[in-house]
Amino acid sequence: MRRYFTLILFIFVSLLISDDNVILKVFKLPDAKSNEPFNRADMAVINAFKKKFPNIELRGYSGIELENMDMDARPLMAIAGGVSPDVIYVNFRQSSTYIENNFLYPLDDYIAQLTDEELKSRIAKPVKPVVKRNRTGEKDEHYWCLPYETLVRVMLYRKDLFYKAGLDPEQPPKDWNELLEVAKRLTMPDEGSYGLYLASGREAAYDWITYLWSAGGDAVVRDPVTGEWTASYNGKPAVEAMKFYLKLITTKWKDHNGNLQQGYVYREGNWGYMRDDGKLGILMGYMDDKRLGGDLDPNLWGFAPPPKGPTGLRGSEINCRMMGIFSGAGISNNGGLGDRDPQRVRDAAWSYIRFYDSDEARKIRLEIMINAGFGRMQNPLYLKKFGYEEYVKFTPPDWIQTFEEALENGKPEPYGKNCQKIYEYMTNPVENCISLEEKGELGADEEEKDKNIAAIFDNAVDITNKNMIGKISKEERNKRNSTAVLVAIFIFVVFGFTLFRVWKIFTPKTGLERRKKNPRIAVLVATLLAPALISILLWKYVPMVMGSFMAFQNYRLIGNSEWVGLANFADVLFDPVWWSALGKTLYYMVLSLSFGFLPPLLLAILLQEVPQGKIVYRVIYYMPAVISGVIVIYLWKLLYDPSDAGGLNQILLALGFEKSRWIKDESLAMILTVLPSVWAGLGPGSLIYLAALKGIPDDIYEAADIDGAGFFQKIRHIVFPALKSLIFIQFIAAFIAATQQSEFILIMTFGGPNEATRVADLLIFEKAYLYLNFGIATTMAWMLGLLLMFVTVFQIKKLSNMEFKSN
Amino acid sequence: MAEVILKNVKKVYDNKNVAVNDFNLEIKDKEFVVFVGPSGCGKSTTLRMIAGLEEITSGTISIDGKVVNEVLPKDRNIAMVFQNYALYPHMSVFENMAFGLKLRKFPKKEIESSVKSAAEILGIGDLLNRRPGALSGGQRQRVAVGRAIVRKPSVFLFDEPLSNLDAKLRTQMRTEIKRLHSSLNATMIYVTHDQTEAMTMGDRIVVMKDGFIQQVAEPLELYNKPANKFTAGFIGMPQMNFFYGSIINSGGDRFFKSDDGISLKLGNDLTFLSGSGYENIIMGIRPEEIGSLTAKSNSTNPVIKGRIDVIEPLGSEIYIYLTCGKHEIISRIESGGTSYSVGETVELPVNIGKAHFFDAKTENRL
Repeated sequence: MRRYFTLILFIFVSLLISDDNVILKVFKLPDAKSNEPFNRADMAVINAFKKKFPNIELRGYSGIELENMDMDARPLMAIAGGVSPDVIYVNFRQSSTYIENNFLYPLDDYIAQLTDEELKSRIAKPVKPVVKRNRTGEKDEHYWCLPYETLVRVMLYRKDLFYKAGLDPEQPPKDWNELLEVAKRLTMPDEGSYGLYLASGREAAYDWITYLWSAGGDAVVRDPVTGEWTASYNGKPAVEAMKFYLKLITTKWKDHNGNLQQGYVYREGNWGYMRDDGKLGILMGYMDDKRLGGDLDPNLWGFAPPPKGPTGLRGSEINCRMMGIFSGAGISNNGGLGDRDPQRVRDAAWSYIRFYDSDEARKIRLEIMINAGFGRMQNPLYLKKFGYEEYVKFTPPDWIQTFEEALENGKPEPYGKNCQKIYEYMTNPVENCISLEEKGELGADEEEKDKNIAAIFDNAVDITNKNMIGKISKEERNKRNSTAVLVAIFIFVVFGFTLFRVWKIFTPKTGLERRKKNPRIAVLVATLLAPALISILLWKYVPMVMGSFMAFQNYRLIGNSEWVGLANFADVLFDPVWWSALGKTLYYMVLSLSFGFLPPLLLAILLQEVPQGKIVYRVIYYMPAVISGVIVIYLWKLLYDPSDAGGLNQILLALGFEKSRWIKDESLAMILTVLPSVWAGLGPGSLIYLAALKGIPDDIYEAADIDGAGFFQKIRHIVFPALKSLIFIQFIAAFIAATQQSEFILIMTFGGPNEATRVADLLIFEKAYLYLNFGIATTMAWMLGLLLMFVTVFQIKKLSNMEFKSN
Repeated sequence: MAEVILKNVKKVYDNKNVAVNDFNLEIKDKEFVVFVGPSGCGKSTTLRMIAGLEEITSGTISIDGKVVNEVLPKDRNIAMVFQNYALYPHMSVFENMAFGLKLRKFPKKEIESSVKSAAEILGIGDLLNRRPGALSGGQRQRVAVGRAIVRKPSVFLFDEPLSNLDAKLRTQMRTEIKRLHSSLNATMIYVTHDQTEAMTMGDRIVVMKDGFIQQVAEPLELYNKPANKFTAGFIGMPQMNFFYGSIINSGGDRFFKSDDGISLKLGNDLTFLSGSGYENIIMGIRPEEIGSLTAKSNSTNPVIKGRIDVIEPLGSEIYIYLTCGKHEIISRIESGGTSYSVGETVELPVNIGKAHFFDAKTENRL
């Protein structure tokens, strides 16, 4: 009897326990194996959390990751994949997209549990409008996320370089004039050191926005009444910021050796190495509320707020790492976790978010950092608060001053509608101005330059408003819609016609003799075909058809996708970025074909003619094909490095030429992107031709010799006709390859520099996975597909007519 | 006028393999010379050297009085017909034939008329628009020949042009080429391994073996007076019967006694074999001189005794394979005469006056 009772009790208790446990998936857990102090501090916080909430079982998120992809895209892909964590990472620039897409669960009820003091310590004043706001079209404001780390972007400078340049390291530049002066002094071409680092390419605007703010401008502004966002990075502040930027970057001067130099800024190449090497005098960097200067040596590195602009403003960026609760937590992301109660998952998530940067957690972190020897580098406010006052006197005074000042006067990173794209939009005019100025085309005098810069930014703002924010006038909208209808009809007619053509091509002309119907054979045929047919239908056509509907929707991952008719077509048709991307795709294809298609043939002919060491040459030319495509790209990236250390530049410099910017040069970028795959494809391509060349009997060449044909006549009259079919097949292969190689561009340039390599399918990829604009992406894909379809039909037709004979 | 003169021509491959050795020959204008020999004898190499497709290791080749060692094939005023036709597969028959003229920038009309007339001569006028792939072997070879004749070269080179054709076509083409030779009035050099082709076509025949010329002679001379055992054996169908042995004087008569005991009395006309020093010789007798009507007609002819192994009736004639001692010999007799049967032991007269004698050591004709 007692044994039964114990058993029942055991079952009851274990049921209770298992029922009580809740699995919580968070976006990131510290690495248990890492010994890095900050990671250990995080680990200690997590352990304390587990101790405090034994019923919450923490799981780290692991899921889709793409190398070299924008960090912003990862959570979106996780949501798209149905494996999103319950606690998701939120940043400023993406917050609006998350809120508008219903990704975040409102935190109001939970926030209400916080004391005023706690709330204040978590949400810095300038951050409040970011975390608490209304959704478009709704009246009530909600809390959407909670910061767990506050950062400011400030000026970092190398004290040793200041000394070397005869500058006082305690007197960092306070305004733009001083900054320019200091940058001049710090630039020492002999030493290979530069006054300033400014980001280039896609990140250019990350640095430029500081100057925009300092000049009194802003990236986007919100109408206090309607709540609508408008891009505003134009006008006088933009012109001033840009002109100062140009002064830093493009001023031409002569060094003491008499060599012509340009600017005081390091922009391209691996700035991380340069920084660690002590070659960059000043750069912008983040300080966070906990570590401030982090592990940087205060003797070597000075911290100061960004220099004031002509308006007297300082453009310090304020940013926060934030956490939010995924709206589908416990509902749509339970894959592999079993059934979970959404309410309990959310509660657990809140416990985690609240605890993660609570005083308790801050204290744990501080202790670990102090024990690791980083006591004097911690935030003195926390040191005081948690009873480690003895360390305060060792803290570098400029750190906390800089942090406080920047927080006081700073601006939150743009957090308006679709602001994850704002940097990209702002980068275009910035890079454009720099590029024009370098070419000497920006304007003859200051007045003209001002006018041109203003026009460039006005245009960029206009595009931003139209495309990023979606502000389009009614008339414009109507015009677009009617055009879209026409184009859409055209597309579907052509598509239907194409399908019909393909159908016709594959239908035998004479009509095959029908076998007498034998049910057993019919069943056998059906059975044999079924696996292939079903899998093709299921995995190719069903997703294609279902996906096609997205073209007519404002597709949202979390349901409620609204039907928008042909609005997407209208948007794409009138999007100059799309057309320019399409143009670049064609350009890429032309380059890829002209470089990738003929050289293997020529190489094969040369290899055929080599009198000695045939095998050696063939191996040499085939070798690159053995290397995986991505590695090839990375190898070439090393060669293309635009700094003096780049492979190709070393050669140029050694030969006494000027160095080139290679892949960072707009005019070269595309062709340089094409080259690696051409290089890698040369060997296999030529081997195929070589095999065919071997099939031409020697006596035909001899007959031609006697007939009087020279080398080129033999190629024209013997080699070329013999390889004709093969050449066509290779052409198709090269063509298909040319349309599918955008992953190389993705790795090589990610569309840069200044959009020079933003081909159509890269744009589609970005629209879909970086901005979750699946509707637009699908529409673009339709249009791109249509273009390729013509070619494909032509190919199918040719191929189906082709005969393969040995003679 | 196109004489082809080869002086001390030598071809060595890879510095060690001698393909052609000290080749000396004067080919007269309008002559039809056939190079014949087993495969690997250097006949094709020699032809290709004349064509300019192979470099000459040493010696000189001159065509029409001009040394052409360094002259490109196209400038030697020659045309060549290949064994595998070597037609351009992607050109029509017309284009194939016109190619050489086109490259030489002949006027279009001239090209057309010469191609057409060449096609008429060869009977391929209705094939001009076809591709080589759609032609039979014989047609292809005609095209190949046509390609050669449109150029009106002074020397034609044929490299085993008929060996890919069946027997009947071969015979037909043989006569056609011969006819072409007389109508074109050109020098022709023809390489073959087929002695029948050589005998029927050549004004003169060059027999080659292992890179050396064995004999240069007119066909009948070659047949009747082979310079050595190789030529004797190579020319003639079926092959000449050979016996190793010596000349023996016995009772005033001279006998040939083979090493396995066959003894044949020599006639008195074979005076050159008198005297001593013929202990080690080879006697060759062509099959038609054994048991045939001519052999029988002279009653003084010795007989050879043997057992019949195989009888091959060919219609107009019969091949009889006999075993005599250790020898397998072949006799070729006319049909309709004595009938023999397998297994029978027969005595066949040997027309000893037509026997050939060679030195056993040098294998040269005595």
